[in-house]
Formats: sequence, structure tokens, C-alpha cells
Amino acid sequence: MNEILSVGLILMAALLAGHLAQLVRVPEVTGYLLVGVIIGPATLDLITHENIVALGFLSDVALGLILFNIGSIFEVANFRRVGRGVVRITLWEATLAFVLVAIVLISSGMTMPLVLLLSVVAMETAPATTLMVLNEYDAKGPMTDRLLALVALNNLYVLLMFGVVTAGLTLAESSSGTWLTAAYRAGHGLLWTTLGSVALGALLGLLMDVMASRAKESGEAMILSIGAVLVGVGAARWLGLSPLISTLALGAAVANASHHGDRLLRALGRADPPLYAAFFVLAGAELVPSSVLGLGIVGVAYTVARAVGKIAGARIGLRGQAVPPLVRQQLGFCLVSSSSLAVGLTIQIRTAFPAYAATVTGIVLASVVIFEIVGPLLTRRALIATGEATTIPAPLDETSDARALS
Amino acid sequence: MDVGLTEPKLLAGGMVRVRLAVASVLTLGLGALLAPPAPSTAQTTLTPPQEYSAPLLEEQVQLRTTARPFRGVVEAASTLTAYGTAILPAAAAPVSADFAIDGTSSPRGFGVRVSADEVLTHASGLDGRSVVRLRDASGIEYDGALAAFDPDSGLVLLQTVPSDGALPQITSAVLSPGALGVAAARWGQRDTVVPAFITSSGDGGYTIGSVGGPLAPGMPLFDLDGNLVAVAAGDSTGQAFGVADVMTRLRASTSVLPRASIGVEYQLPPDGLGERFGDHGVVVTHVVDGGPANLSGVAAGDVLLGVGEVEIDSLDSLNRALVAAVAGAPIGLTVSRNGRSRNVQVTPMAAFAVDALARRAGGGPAGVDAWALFPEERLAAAGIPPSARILSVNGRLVTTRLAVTRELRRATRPLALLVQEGARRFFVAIEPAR
Repeated sequence: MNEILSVGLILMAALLAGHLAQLVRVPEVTGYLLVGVIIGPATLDLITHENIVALGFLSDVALGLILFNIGSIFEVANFRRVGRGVVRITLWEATLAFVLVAIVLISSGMTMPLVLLLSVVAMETAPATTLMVLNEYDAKGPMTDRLLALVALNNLYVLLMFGVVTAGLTLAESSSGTWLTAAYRAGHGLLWTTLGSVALGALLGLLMDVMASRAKESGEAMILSIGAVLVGVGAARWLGLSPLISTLALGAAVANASHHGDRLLRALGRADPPLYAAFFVLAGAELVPSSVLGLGIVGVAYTVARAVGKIAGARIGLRGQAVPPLVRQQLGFCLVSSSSLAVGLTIQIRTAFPAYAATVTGIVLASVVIFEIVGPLLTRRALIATGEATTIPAPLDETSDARALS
Repeated sequence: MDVGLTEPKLLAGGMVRVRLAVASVLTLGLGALLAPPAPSTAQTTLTPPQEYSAPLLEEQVQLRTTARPFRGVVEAASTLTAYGTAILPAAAAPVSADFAIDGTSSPRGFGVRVSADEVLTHASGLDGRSVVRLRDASGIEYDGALAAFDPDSGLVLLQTVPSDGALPQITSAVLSPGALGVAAARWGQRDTVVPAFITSSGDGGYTIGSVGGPLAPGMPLFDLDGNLVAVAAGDSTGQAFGVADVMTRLRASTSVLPRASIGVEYQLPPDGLGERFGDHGVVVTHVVDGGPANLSGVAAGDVLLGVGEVEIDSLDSLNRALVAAVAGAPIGLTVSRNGRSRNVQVTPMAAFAVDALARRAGGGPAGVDAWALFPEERLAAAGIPPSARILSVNGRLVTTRLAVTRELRRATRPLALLVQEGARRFFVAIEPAR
């Protein structure tokens, strides 16, 4: 099947999946993933392995958009509203997940580099999945506000930790040159990837804001937003920077630059749905459900340790903060989703450390299957329990269109 | 999401923006400026060392004297330079060949004629290609095609148009540490002469210290009698390989070396696993990461049923089909996985390039020690060497003993174990635990 046809099929399947998901009252993203599994190489093979490789750029673009949206949460007013407590919660939930997963993997006899790589991927909370569920249910309230900030901070923390771990491993495994040159190389690499990416994102964000004043029509605003994100991803790749951090910084710069930023984000929101749908269907197509069965005890322990770390870490982090008891109880469950960023990090690990690629891919992708089905359901349950879900889409209700992200 | 539209934005001020923009530009500029040079490996392109005329080298040597007095070395270097320049016309002039890529003017490496129609060089200068453009000392260009590859040293024999020029004398004498030599080659009208010192030798290889930077891939090393001793790998480790030993191996390997490879290892379907792998074709036991088969989605455990129109029913039929493959020309494979077959397009690469990928990929998955899992009798009955490692069970990678024993306990049919012993991987059937 040629790529154009496969993209068309993906979008049609996503549309059908979205409706069916509403019928059985599960989040749309779960439906997208499952339909991806069905039409992908694992089952019907309508979307072949070659198609997935050829459409890889779609996933890159979608991931860039996702992180751009996440970056826009780093707007000072948002953080003023939720307070500094979110930093504490993030540090607790992500670090506890890292520590518990590391303990489990070390006791299973895994080598240290593998342990570190898997533990850092375990820290991640899925940005797009969480955002999609929040938007689908039009969530509002203290838990939702914290959740947005938590996801943004979590992703930033994970990207930084990932940079540190990969720099350290590259240094430890380096065999060429003296230790000093290897250390310099690793240190420069880390700083370049983090600070350089932030600098690129900030520059592009400022430029985008200047151009936004001239983009009065909503169509022009959409072109500007998508174009800027693509330039951000492309330029980051070209310069050897992190496209993930760059687009995160781009979103943050745009949100903090001026009120044009809000208009641009709203315009972008109208373009998001097909790309997000394609991203999740493709992600589902890459999953191998039988790998879940092949997880083994180590994989199961990894999954449980991550979930426990997130839920317990959030509770500990919330201590001393004034939040309703239901929020305190439910917040951790909303952090369990894991997908896009974990998959993105796994791809980077595959390139940088090919020796560990097989094990990391196997465990992470298998656990993503579980968390992407369970996570959105837990988030949905939490939103309903705390009363923050203002819209529960009725099945086959064509008037309720909560898909656009704003 | 709600945002306070009336709150002032953090970056609203003009000066704040300017400062941020300046800081960003400075960060990017400094980062690019301070970037360390990429570490040189056998796979990266090396440019040949700076070309010294004798007076220039002496001047450079004198500068080094001022910085680091080491008179003995310096004097030797000067002498060697003069010597190298003197022997170059006789020893190197008719025998250097260099490689120009796509019309650019900088060669990627050098080579040396070892027979009328063969040039010896190192694989790292070829960039994964099996046909390269050569240019000899008189400036004439011609093609050299890969004829043989020695995996131990990475030296490569290229077939090229015959020349009736003089050939170097190859010596089998081994230079000992401390011996002096000269790496010399001519590119176009310019001579490259690099005095060299043997810092260690053994197993047919040398580590070379040279004055003037690392030697380019394929650069020939001559002793003080003008005999050809070794050919440089061209990496930062200063490795070079003795020509006499390698030539023996290269001549012996020509007849069986496939020129192109798809990067798979395979075996006949093992006994007892007919239900899993079927009775036809050959089973893939290993796929080189990044190799042609890997890029097309073939994985260990897949069964190759056909190449093009040819049905595969034995190892020999597959070998013959793959030997006929040409690097860069796609072939269709019929591959079966879990009983479902599909057609896959694979583009073979030069065999030594696939070999380089395989070495780069490192050890692969860790697996579990076989001796820790089964008693000796059971290992012997299954045909598993005790020193082997079990990499996967029924297609699932295993990293702990617990994972393997669990699979054994759960299974009711013979299990397919992927076993690795040394560099060899193979499937065996093992009965589940009773």
C-alpha cells in the first residue's frame, strides 16, 4: 500500500475508533492505539512495516506539536496560580518511579547501563495522552491545573535526566582519547543538547511572536504555528540538538512572549486532531501485543514499580499542600499514562546504544501497551471522582466535539 | 486552558526580548565553537596527514624541539624525512594509489599496488562501497573493485586495471618495537612522507607512532631498506597490519567471499521445531543491526522461503542465491513469520560494510548462561555447549534465569531456544520441564 493510501486509512480508522471509544466509554486515545494494533503489522498488516518507517516523519511532527503544547504550559501565570508545590510533586513522583524501577531491575540482575536507561524512561508521564483526556472531558479544577503543570515539569525533568544519563553512559563507554577529552565531549554534548535546544526554541519563539502580529487571519496563524514547529524540529535535528527540548522551549517562549501566543496556540489546536490521531494510530501499529506476554516477571515488576512510584510519589509530594482530599487521593493515578515521550526516548536509545536496543524496546513498548490502555482510564476515573470532568461525551453525539486542543 | 489575558507576559518587554535573543545567539555560537572534534574511528572519514616538504617538516620539528626537547627523536625524524623523501620515488611512486570521491580533490585514503592488477588498502578508506575510484601517481584515474577482505585486519584487496610499473618488495620480517620506518605515498604531484616509529608489534600487527599526525587509511609503511612492511588502518590508535601475513589470508579468501551481504545468519530448521518453523526454507538466527535485512524488518526467528523466484530448500541454495547478489541491487525475499509469509525487498550491502556494522553493534543481548539453567546431560542431549548463552525462548528475549525457568514450566510443546556460542547463534529445541 502506498503511503498516501495508508495515511488515509489511518485517519479513517482513527475516526471510527474515536466513535467506538465513546460508545464503550473509554478515552479516544485508547481507541486510536487499539485500532493501530489492529491495522498494523501485528494483526491485519494493512499498514506495513515499510509504511511505518516511511511515515516516521508524521510521528516526529506530531511529537513536536505535542511538546510545543506542553511548553506553552510554562507560562508564568499558570505557575503562579498552582504554586511551587507542583515542582515538589514532580520531583517526588518522577524520582520515586526512577528509584523503585532501578531497585527492581538491579535485583533481577540487569546490567547498570540498562537499569539506568530503563529507569529514566520510566519517569515519563505521557504528555499527549493526558492532555487529550483532559480536553475530551473539558476538565477544570485544582487537579486539572496541577496536572497540566505536572506533565510539563515532568517532561522537562525527564528530558534533562535522559541527557545526563546518556552523557554519563557515553563517557563510561568511551574508548577513544584520554579521559579528559571523553569527559569534555560528554559534558559539551549534555550542555549543547540542553542549553542549545532551549536557546534555539527561545529564538524561534521570539521570531514567531514578531511574525504573529502580522498573521491576523486564523489561517495564517495556523500556517505560522505549524511552520514554526517544523522549523524547530528540523533545525534541532540539523544542529544536533534535541528536537524535544527545542519545541518545549519554543512553546514556552511563545506563551510568555505576548498575547499573540494564545491566538497561535488556539489556531494550532485546530490542526492538532489529524496529526494526533495519526501519531497514536502509528504508535499502536508499532506495538507488538504478544510482547506483553513476553514481558516476563521483570517486565511486570517494572510496570508495577513505575505505577507505585508515580502514585505514591505524588501523594508524598502533596503533603503539606492545601488540596481537597479527593485530589490528594486521585492525582497520582493521572500520572500513570506513558507513551509518546517514552517511545521517542526509546528511539534515541536505539540509535545511541544499539547494544541495549532490543531489551529496552521490548520492555518499554510492552509496558506502554499496558499504560496506554490503563492510564487514560485511570485519568478519566479520577476526573469523574473529583468532579472535574465537566463534559462526558455521549456516544455518537455529533454535537460534542471536544477533540480540538486549545 | 485558562490564561490570565490581562496579566503582563514575562517576555513582553523589548529589552527582555533583546537580552534573551542575544543570550540565545551567544549560547548557540559558543556551543558550536567549543564543540570537540568528533572522535576518529575506523568508520569515519580521515583526511590524509598534512603534506610536508622536507624543509617544512624540519621547521615543524624544530618548533617541537623548542616546546618539548626530545633531541633523539627529533634528530631521527629529520633523518627519516630526508630518507623518506629520497626513497619515495623508488619505493612509493609507482605503487601509490589514492581515492578521490565523487570528483572532490581530497583523497580519503591511500593504497599500494601489490601485484600487476591488485591494490591493497584498508576498508576504512572505502566508506562502505565496493567499487572506488583510484588515481595513481601519474594522475590517471581508474576503478578498483573489491576482490577480497580480511576481517581480522580490515585490509582489502581491490582488483584494478593492470599496470606494468615496478612493484614494492614485500618483506615478511617483523619490525620490533623501536624500529624506524617511513610511511610514504604520492598523491598527484605531491609527496606525503611521515616518519614512523614502531611502538609495539605482535600477531602480525603494529602500533605506530608518527611525527606529523595519524596515518591515513591504507598508507603503506616501508622499512629503512625500502621494503613494504605494513599498511595503516588510519585510525587514532595508530594501528597498521603486516602485509605478508594478510596477503596469504586475502589470497585464500577470494574464492569464498561473497561480495554482497544482506546481514543474516541462518540454519536449517532444527529437529523438533517443525511446528514453529515449518519444514521448508532456512531459519534466520541473527540479523545484523542496521544491516540490509534489519532495515527491511527481517528478524531472528523468521524463515526465509525464497530469494526472488528461487525457492530455498537448503543452505546451499541460499548461499548460491546470496553469492549472486550485488551490493545496491534490491532482491525480493519471501519471509515467513508465525506461519504467515510476506514478500520483503532487501538491498544488499558490501560484505565488509555489513561486517563493520556487526562489529559496531557490539555483543548484542546479554542472555543467560546455559550451564546455570540445565544439568550437563540435558545440555548435551539438546546439543547446547555448556559455555553458551540462551538469548531467547520462543522468540522472547530473556535476561534472567527466572524468565527461562518460567517459560519451561509453562510450556507443553518443545521450546525454541536461541543459543549463542562465541560468534555463532543457532536455534535448538528443548523439551519442557516435566
